Amino acid sequence: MIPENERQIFKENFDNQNLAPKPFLQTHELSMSYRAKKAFHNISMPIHFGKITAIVGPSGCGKSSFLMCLNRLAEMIPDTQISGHIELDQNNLMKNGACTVALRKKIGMIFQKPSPFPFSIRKNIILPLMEHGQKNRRILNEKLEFVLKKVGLWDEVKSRLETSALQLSGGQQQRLCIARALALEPEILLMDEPCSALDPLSSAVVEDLMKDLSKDYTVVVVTHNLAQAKRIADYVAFFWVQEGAGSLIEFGPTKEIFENPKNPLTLSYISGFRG
Amino acid sequence: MFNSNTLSPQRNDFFLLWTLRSLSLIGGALSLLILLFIVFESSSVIQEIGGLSFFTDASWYPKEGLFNLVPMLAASLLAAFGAALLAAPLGILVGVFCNFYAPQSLAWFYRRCIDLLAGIPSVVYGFWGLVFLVPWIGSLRPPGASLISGIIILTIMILPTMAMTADAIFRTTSKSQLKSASALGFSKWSIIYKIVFPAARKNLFAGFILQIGRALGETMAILMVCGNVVQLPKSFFDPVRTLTANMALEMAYATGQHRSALFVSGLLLLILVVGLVFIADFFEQDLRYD
Amino acid sequence: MIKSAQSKVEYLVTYIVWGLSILLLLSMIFLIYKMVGPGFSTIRWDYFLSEPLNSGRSGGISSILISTLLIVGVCLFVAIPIGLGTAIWLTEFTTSQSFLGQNIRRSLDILAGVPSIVFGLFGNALFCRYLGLGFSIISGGLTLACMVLPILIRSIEVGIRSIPSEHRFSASALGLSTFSQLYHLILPLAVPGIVVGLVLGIGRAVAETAALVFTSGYVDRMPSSISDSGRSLSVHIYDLSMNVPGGESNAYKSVFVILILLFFLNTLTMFLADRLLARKVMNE
Repeated sequence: MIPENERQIFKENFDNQNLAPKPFLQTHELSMSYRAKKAFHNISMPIHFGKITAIVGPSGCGKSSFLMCLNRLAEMIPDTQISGHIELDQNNLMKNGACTVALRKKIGMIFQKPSPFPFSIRKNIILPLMEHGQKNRRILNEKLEFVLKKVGLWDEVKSRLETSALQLSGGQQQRLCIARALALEPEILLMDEPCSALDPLSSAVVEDLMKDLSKDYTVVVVTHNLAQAKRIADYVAFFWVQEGAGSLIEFGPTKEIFENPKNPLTLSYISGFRG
Repeated sequence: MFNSNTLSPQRNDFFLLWTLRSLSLIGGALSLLILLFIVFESSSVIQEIGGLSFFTDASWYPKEGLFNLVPMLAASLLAAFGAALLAAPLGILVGVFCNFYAPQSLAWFYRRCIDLLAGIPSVVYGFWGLVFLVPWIGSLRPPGASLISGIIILTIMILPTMAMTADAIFRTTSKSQLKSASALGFSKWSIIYKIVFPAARKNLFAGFILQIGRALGETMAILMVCGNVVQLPKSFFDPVRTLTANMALEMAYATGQHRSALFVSGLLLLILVVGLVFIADFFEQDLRYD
Repeated sequence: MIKSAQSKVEYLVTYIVWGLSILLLLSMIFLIYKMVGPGFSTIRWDYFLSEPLNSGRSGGISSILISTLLIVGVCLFVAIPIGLGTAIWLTEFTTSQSFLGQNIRRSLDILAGVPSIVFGLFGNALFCRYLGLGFSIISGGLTLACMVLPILIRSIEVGIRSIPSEHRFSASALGLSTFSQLYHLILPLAVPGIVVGLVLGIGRAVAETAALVFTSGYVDRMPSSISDSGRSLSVHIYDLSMNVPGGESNAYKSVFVILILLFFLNTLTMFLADRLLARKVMNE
């Protein structure tokens, strides 16, 4: 099941501990190219259940593209080609004819730039719910309150649920987007640099929220902020550009990666951060 | 949780996609359909008398089976070229004035007027020509309804679009280029003459070609002021009949070969205009890679 | 020395540009005044309410307005679904490399350049003759629908393209189906573009004469149905000025009506286009 190079990484990281957990989501030799240019190449990587996995690396190494492949959103970009496959609970997600709608309900995604729809706060959250078949007004309202409380937005907006979501501040908008994704009860949350477009204060709020969410969800977060990765992640994947395409250099528990990296590239990247 | 039932694509998306695709096919097939119908309708007379007769017959006497299109083709081309030649410098003048000379409020007002003129229907220009221009030209040299009236009316009609084209082209001339030229001590006119015009040359030419095409296809206004005599004009003050005017005048009652011959002139016009659109397209695209 | 020669040219050119431009502007205003003025001073309200008498020399334009309305109505009824469908398909479902998409685009570009008289020939051949609709409002409306389709599609495309792509990505990420993305997100946000297209299309349809002369016909009485022949306002102006001696003063009134109508439509388009632009800027 697990390919050879993948096994190698595991072996290196877990030899002594011998407690490699079974991956929840697993990519197999996943590659993506845009027009003639390769975004990333041959990435095989596990995502563990109930943990925060951070993907770090310099910009342009295919981190965000990789993330967008996990819920097959990358296919929406014209002229992209994807090969390899993704396995989730023994289902192949790349299978032709697989229902992307059901898939995306299970895998929520948060973008770098807060992107609430230009509707009211309420409609932003209940529209996707209604889309997935929830018609009961009472349940909708309960869910609305529940997710807004979960992201700590309820007290800030409960008196103005009918106003446009675009009037919220950047940090509030981002939390609304997270609430919107949570309302669908996903099992995995993909976050593409969710803090980088926010001011430091909102950024801290969202970061705390991420940490909080990891109790209930499997989170994959792309970040170029190594300090953040170190603070919140359980596992870290380090991406780097090799031969013109993003590649996975090293994967392991956060502690291992930061304190005892195996690959010299990782070491220099980490120490650059240290220095 | 991902059993094969939930992994099946949704049916209403398929339905939607195919509805949209068929609607687009209708929209896309229209120009082919038009060509097909015009060719089909004109084929009967071409088969009977051959394509060459349209250029060699003695004259245009549809009742006697004589279908010489040359005088009308000549009138159409003369009027269209004349009008485009007059409108192009005026349009460029407006573009230059609005972008480089006029204060913003005046430029806004100017553009608004141009917009208004562009929206006036052809038949209204024709009416104005009939009650105002034709008598005036007639007082200079009778009969008044003539090639020159047609050229003037067409000039007024295509000037707004020519001006809008020039205005849009000049507006996109890179501001940083202008700044650096000013920094080098270029005066305003030499910036326009030496930097803006050369950069805009090809697109302006494309706009010019497109305006010829529009003028060629213009019907009502030119029909109302040109006098509609089928003849090769000897001077600008002779009345002429253009291809388009001929169709509009005779289509309502034409039958048989005559009707078919009118479709031939339509086909000729269509080929000319579409050809011009392609030429303009070629020049416009060329600029993008400059 | 060089400097003074240069500034002389500069002065001269500035004077010439200003002089000619102002002259041109004044003649344009004069032209508009000459067209609108006589109709404005003679028109009365009953001109809109009474039927034309004596070939239009006297009486009003009530039947003409009804015919015009019906022709434009038929035109929009057919053009809106096709235009909307095509625009959505071209923007949302085709890439720049798509064979079908590219060719449909090219075909529409050509269609936009086809002279109106050729649309008239086509409409006469297909609708009046081949489909047996005769000289009728429905033939005229269908012919105009073919004519306004390219403008309509282009405006709707601009409207849809002004919607930021993040909305599409986040809608997909939330598992919204293509259908509900269109229904809830794309269409409501594209409304200004659609309206701009509609107003432009109506403007062109109202202004058109050549394509209508031999598709919807000349008859100036009140149409009894859309399969009846009906005379549009622009055809009315043409007929009064060319074929009816003494029709001039009523022609001026009709010119006034059509110009006011088009001015209104033009202003509406500008206003909506500005709002569309403002939204695009706001979202960036």
